[in-house]
Amino acid sequence: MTDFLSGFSVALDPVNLFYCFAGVLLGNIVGVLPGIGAIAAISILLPVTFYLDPTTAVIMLAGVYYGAEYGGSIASILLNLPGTASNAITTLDGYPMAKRGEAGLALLTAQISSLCGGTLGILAMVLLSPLIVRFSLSFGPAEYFATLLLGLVAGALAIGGQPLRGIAMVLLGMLLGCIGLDLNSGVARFDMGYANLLDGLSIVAVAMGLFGVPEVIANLRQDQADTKPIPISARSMFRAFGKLKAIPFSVLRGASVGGLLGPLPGAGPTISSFLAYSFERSVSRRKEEFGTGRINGIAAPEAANNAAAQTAFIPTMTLGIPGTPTMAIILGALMIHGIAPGPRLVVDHPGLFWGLIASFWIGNVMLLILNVPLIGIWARLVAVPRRFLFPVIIALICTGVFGVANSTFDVWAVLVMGLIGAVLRSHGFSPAPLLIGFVLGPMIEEHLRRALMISSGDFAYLFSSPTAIVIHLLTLLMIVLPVLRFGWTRIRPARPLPAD
Amino acid sequence: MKALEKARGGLLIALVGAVFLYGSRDFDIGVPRNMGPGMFPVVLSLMTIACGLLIALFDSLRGTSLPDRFPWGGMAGVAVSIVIYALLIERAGIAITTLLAISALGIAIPRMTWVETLLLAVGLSAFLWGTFVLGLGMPLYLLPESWS
Repeated sequence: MTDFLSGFSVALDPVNLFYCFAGVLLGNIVGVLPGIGAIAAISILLPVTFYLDPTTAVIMLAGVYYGAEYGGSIASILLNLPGTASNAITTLDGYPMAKRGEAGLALLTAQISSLCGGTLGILAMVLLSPLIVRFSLSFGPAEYFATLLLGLVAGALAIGGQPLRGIAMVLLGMLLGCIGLDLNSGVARFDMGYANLLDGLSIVAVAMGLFGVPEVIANLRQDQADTKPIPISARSMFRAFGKLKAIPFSVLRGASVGGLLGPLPGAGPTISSFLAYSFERSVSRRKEEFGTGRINGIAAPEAANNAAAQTAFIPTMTLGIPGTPTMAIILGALMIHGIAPGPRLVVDHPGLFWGLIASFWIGNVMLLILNVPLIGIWARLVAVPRRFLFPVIIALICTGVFGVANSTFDVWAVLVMGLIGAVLRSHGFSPAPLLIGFVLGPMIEEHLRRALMISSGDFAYLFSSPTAIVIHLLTLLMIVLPVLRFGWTRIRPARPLPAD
Repeated sequence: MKALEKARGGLLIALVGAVFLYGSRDFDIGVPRNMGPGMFPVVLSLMTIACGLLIALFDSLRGTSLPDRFPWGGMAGVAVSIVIYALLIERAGIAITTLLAISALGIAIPRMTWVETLLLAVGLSAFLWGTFVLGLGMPLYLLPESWS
């Protein structure tokens, strides 16, 4: 706990405070704007962080990530268009409420639930991280291999539906991760004669190419109908404070679901919000009111996605295993700054770790202050035509990626990755597993080679410790889980609920 | 023929795997005790090829829908504007590059007017110059270097 308090001295540093604000502001903006998600924004912002101190950089990138969870609910409620995928479920009850004139209450519920969910998630992180670190400091190559394998399998299966496609994408990402110098032998792999590729393909180019460019390509031609958002004023939000008595338990339930699922590789805020909603509905005595504009239907998923957005940092920071593509990018940002992810991170850079956690909470409060009094501005931003966004994204991508090495090589790399991403996307392949494979691939290769060197080629070494076996069992469970999830999607509430 | 069309996605993956396998033909594979640089790429490419072929097989057998119509117009607009950035940003400066790139992109965006394109280009150039060059010190210029 004292560590956590010392983190505030880092987070309250004026420079960090400024970039924390910049991060959450930007996150809120991209959350409000449907069509551009946190992951695209973070990849676009990545080159900017090269010029910052690593702690400041991660504070800002993380701010974008959880800020988008706040902003996304605004578009969901006022426009019936989810700002980000994890706010999609909020449209079910948020928009009906806004339509019958309760937009203020719906928005306030979303914001307060987000703050409470986020706070509980941060608390879980403060309490759990030191325990996990103490445990994982004893990890050897075998345990690392097991954990990384779990991350890869989860990354492949997370998208659900078509596991083979996820596996193919992870493999492709790992192959792209092989590009560059092989550190053990000094052999250059797949460099095609370009010196720029010796350090490997830049994660910035890969992330921007996969998440920024195809998004623009796919949406450019779609003529978006300019739907009018429902009008809203700050006063109606302030007046709604008294009506929040109905939500504390929904928030607690939602935050528990989100907080538990957040750290699991592959789960993340989106799945958390969906599960929290169906859980909330199943424990409610008035199931039939869900989907018609019930306040608990907003509180639970909004608390869940924010709690998950915070607890997702636990495995990323304590084990170096990113559960979601966004976490993979944040991990990439740390690696760019020469900070090796893994259990030693918390021990070697306590200022970074605890400062980041403290900044979470400060950022969450900033978001509430940003969103409640200034709701009028956000409501207007929701209505900005999307066609203006595309040129901005392309210009930011091209100029930003130039800054990676101050060379146009990476601009060409973005073009190639973007075209690959667009082709994959149009054939039904999701880019998220590819990015996870790209980040984890080189790590698992290193640990596997080290493990087999220790055991002189005996594969049984990989299963030699109880910890490794438990993790391998978890991986096995992951493979069985899609079957269960398939069952769950069938009981998920359809939009107009049948009276049961 | 229709089966082939459906299987395209999987075949594409297998093809990429084959390209990587071809690229790793000269790498030393080594033994498990001491893996060479080729072990991982070769194993991964083989798995990718297998995975791609399986996807192709399942897709052609199952009644999956055909791949979405590819957004050629969008792709052309985006590709051209990125190429303009790659070719010009060091030589022509941020302002001219952005104007040209956004104009190329603007053609591909429905309902985008010339006035909007121009205003966006001016605003964006100012923003990019302010944050990336003045703020972060990227070695770029607003206008062609030789003009100043």
